[in-house]
Amino acid sequence: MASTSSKKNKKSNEVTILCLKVKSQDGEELVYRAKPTTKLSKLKNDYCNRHSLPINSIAFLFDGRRIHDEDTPESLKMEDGDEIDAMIHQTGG
Amino acid sequence: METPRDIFTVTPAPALVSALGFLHFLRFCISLFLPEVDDEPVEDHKSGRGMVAPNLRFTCAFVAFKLYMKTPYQRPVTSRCYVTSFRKHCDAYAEIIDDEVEQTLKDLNIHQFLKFPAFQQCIPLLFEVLKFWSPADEGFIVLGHVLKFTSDEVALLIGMPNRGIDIKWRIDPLNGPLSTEIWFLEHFSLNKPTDSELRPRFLRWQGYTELYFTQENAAKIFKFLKISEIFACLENVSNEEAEKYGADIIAIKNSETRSGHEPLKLQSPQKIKASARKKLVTTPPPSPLLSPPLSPDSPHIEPPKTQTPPPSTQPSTRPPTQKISFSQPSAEQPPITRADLEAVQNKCFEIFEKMLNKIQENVGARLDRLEDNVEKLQADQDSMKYKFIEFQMQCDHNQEKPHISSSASSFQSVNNTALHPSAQAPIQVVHPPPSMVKEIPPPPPMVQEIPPPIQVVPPPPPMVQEIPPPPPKRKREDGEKEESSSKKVVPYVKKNTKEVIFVDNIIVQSHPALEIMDYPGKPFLAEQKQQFMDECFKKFNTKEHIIFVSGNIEIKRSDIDYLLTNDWLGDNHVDAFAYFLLEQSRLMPEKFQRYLYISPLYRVYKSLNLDYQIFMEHINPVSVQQSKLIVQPIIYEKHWVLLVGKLKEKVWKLYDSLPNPEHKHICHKVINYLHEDAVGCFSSDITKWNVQAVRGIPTQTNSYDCGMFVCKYMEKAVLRKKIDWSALKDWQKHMPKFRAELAYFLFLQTKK
Repeated sequence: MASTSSKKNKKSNEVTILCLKVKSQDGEELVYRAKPTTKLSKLKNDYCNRHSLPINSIAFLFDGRRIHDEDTPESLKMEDGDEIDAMIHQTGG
Repeated sequence: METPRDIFTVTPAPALVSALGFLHFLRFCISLFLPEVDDEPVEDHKSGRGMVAPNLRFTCAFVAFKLYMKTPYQRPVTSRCYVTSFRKHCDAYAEIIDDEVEQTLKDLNIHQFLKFPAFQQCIPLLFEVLKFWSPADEGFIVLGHVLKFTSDEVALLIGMPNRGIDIKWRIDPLNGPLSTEIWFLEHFSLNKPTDSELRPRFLRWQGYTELYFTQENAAKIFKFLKISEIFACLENVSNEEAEKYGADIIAIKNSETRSGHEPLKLQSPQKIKASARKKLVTTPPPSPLLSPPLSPDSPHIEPPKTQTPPPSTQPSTRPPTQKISFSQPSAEQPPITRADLEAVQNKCFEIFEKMLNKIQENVGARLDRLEDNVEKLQADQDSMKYKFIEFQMQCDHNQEKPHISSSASSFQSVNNTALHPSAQAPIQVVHPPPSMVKEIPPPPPMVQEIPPPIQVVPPPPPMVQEIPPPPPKRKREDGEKEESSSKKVVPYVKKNTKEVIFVDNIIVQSHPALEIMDYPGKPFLAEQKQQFMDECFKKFNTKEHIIFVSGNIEIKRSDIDYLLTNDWLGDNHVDAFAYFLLEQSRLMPEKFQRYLYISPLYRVYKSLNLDYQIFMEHINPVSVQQSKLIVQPIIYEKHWVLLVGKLKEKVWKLYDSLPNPEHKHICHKVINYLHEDAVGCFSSDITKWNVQAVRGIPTQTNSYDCGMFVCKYMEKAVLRKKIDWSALKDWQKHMPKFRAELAYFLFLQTKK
């Protein structure tokens, strides 16, 4: 029983996993597969690591709005294949 | 080995900016000249040198740094003014290059060289570095060692680890006479290898804690930045270490006898560095080797100039006792420095020329090798085609498994491009080389930016990088090896095409922030506030802790750290400041004029083609009519300025803490943007209003406070009261205080 139910869970998860494209300023894309309930900060962290950027040095934007750490694809009503823009924070001296 | 954290107070800098693109060019040249490149591609790639490595395409790296030595430093290197002249030279040079060379350069994927990235700061330092270049040895000669190092290493020599990490090495920021402070820079948009293993080894410290140098040596390096000592450090590297870290070190350790003798005599590190340098520069010219390969014109000019300039330029340019002294002349004797700079520039110019000649020669040889590689790749590709199909089928079945599907995605994407050939001739083994050239380029997405045909170049190094033993050229005959190598090609494709990452597999690490922090502004705060701040540091002890959020603003603990430690301010900080100011003005309308604030991100979004509407929502005819001012901080080329539109007077005021007429250009651009987006909001054509730089305002004397200056300008500009700027001349002194106050204010928000 337990095994079948877990299988079911898995199946339902499969259905709901989203592909999110993260697009950098130079047009490069990374595709993340995430559950709707995954915090998007996770993506952001990973993105920084991958690109050797200092943490918190980029902002993720969805439709021009900034994605905050607590946001999830669900809360932002993201759909499969949606694009996220990664913007490097502008600093100056 | 302890982590470097113990040695330095390491806090991350924001992606600061500036000028090492040039060194990247150098790096390219060096890598091109290196005979070992093909023999030891593994090491080559690991060290991040491979100029052909796909993940190091020549989006130039920007590196910023500020260097303070010994004394509380008199004046910053205000090389902003030299920048343009230097660039002019470069641009002029770009024009001189004839089409053929240009095409070759483009084919090699380095045409960015032709449009130099904007430099900021420390051009003199680059010159300094350049002086070590010896065309005869095709490397930098320092203390008799021929160094064939990468720009990463150059960066290190100058004291710059380039992972956006800053190193602070100082005791007392305010009055410590022995404070040394080094900041950094960042590989700005360099395509890094995703695998941390592949990161340049020198640069792995924070979090990766693998420092190549021993603790003491590292401390030495950063403490005094004596070049001689750095190399002393290198010599202390044990053979084992050298083996572990590869041939580079051995190359460094190899002292060339020819150029070696002289410098070694005066090697004693205590001797004035500059004098050592002089010798060094003069020694390289054992240029008998040099002359044969050079083109007919150049020898005439070169020998005299390369040899003579050092003595002539150096003494006058730099009171040569201190390495860093070039920061002083720039301030104190501008005329001389400039003239000398010109001389040095000319020299650079020549070096370029030589390099190019070399390139021209080498390109031929290189192309031959490439052709070999291409053929090999071609064979690989054939075997890959089958794999693709296999894998694709597999993938259709198991999409869940992260490994397979991640590679699957790469396959799919490759398929798009690679299937065409395979569809036509799946078993065809021999393609004519040129067609091959066309086939391969598609996979890497770089094509978007730089589509030159010789894209084929990238594949070889990564491919071999994972199989150290086989020297690429010979193995290609063995059919078996091909298959194994074809497997290895895959990771390369993966890195550069769409990669699917499973979020569930990501382990999120939180990065600890300092619980006890000392910051320059501390003494300016009241004791109570200090205590509160201290509590906050303890409470929010990871860099991810969110301090303040509102709309598009998100301030985290790391942002606070930047704010407090004389780092550059980002859009977040300025927006946050503006947010508080706006709140304040709403509470006390009698003190403030009504104004409309437009976020600096407006311009940024606009230039990046992002959706900028949220920044313009509040701009409409009614709101404009009710307001007196339009306030728009602008960040451009790593500099903050403030643009204030006076709606009644119909004039734009530009507040610039580093007054420079060039900064006006960006204002016009922004005004044009506004004009486009706020149609009908303004009663007259805002593009026709005059843009006046405000004079007599306090200005900055360092190179990191302009963000804070812009905030404070903003604060004053929106007051009803007329401001007496002359009474505020000493703002620079108060900047640490302003920073601390803003941080305090931000921390206060956490209470709410």
